[in-house]
Amino acid sequence: MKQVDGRWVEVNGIRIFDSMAEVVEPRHTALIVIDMQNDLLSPDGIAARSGVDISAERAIIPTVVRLVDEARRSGVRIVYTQTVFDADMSNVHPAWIYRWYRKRPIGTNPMPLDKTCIRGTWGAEIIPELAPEPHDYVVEKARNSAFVGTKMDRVLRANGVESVVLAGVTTQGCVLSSALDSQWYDYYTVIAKDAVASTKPELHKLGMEQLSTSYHLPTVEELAAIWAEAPVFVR
Amino acid sequence: MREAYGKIIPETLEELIDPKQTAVIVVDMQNDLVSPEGYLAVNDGQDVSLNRSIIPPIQNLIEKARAANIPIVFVQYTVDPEHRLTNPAWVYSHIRERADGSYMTRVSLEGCFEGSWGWEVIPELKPEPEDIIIRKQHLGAFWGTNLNKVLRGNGIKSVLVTGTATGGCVLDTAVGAAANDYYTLIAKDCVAQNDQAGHELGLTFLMERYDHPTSEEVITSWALAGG
Repeated sequence: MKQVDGRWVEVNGIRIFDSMAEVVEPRHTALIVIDMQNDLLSPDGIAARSGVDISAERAIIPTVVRLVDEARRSGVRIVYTQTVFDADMSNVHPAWIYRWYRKRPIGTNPMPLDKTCIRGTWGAEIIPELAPEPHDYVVEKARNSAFVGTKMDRVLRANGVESVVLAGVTTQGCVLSSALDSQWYDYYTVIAKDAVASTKPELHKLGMEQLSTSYHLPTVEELAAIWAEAPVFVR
Repeated sequence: MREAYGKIIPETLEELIDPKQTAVIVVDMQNDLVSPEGYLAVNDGQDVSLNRSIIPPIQNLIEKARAANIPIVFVQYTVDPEHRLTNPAWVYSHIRERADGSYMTRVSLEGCFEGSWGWEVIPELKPEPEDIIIRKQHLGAFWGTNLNKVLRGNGIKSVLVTGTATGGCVLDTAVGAAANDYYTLIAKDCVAQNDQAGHELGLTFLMERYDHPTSEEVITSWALAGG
């Protein structure tokens, strides 16, 4: 451990990153795009068909597209998460069903769990605007976190990733849970402030306030500017 | 109980915190974080009275839990004095400036040293030999610890989270419990943070996502189950 003027600069002989530009340097950074799937964001998906107002989530699509483009151009590793439930609910724990419905009747959420992001369906696919390219990774998950019970950590370590940029939906749910886990797994973690959303504005606000207590929240513009200056990393 | 997709789902508080499958988790009630002579009070100059205000309800809760044979898990934030378990990204999150110009407390880098007085659980909540002790290096109690294994080994399906700080280690432990498929509850009057605004923000988030009975409601429920 080494300090200069009371500021930590090194631990275990490893230098600690000192600026946002260092944190998100393309060669060691992954962009994780969370749950941008048809059932949640498409007008024909189960959320919209169940009467959920998806406008706030749809509003970030162009911003996330821009972020993905900038990441791809700079050599940032792109990883999508995709929530997938088996039609027979075999990968769903009773505690998840409990929380999905709480006191409401089974089958109402308003989205019914057994009609949402079901394996093999169009609804589970990533929205066409963000269709993954062949060299991107898609990590399947079945809970909030992108890390617990998934291959995420292995994928990131295999690619020399030290830092994670998060985008997607929903702010207070899967984004926040993934941010906590990313920190626990010892990745430098930032959230792209204008590339996350929730169907409910008040929950988005609550999630952002909570995230701001522990994480940097750069805008897509700020990230794009840093990546434009950084040497392109050829993967 | 009710059935959904061929699985049995609890409905009532009594079912959720059935003593046979519930554990109480006491997060970070350590001298450096709660005692007037600890790091937060002395080094950070924090008024620790809010953190201390939850000592009596937690004492009462764990006394009733012991009587009902409910496992009690004490979680200790633990720093290796040689920093062999300290990760650069963890340090970064503490030394970076926040949007409002403030910094995170450095107690998680420069306090709670393993084996020190500040690291110990406060004497008012002194663990008993049968209690479970979990030492963690991060905010949440699940990652990098054997908490999940211990809970599963004891047939635990529900966790009731108490302790400090509401918007930090308590919140992370609750999110971690849910991520690991536990029924997750917060004992609403048994969580605290010296910074009241941070407490309210964290508690609002937790109440939005998880069941949040008071300790009295929990104790009443356990009494019904036992009676």
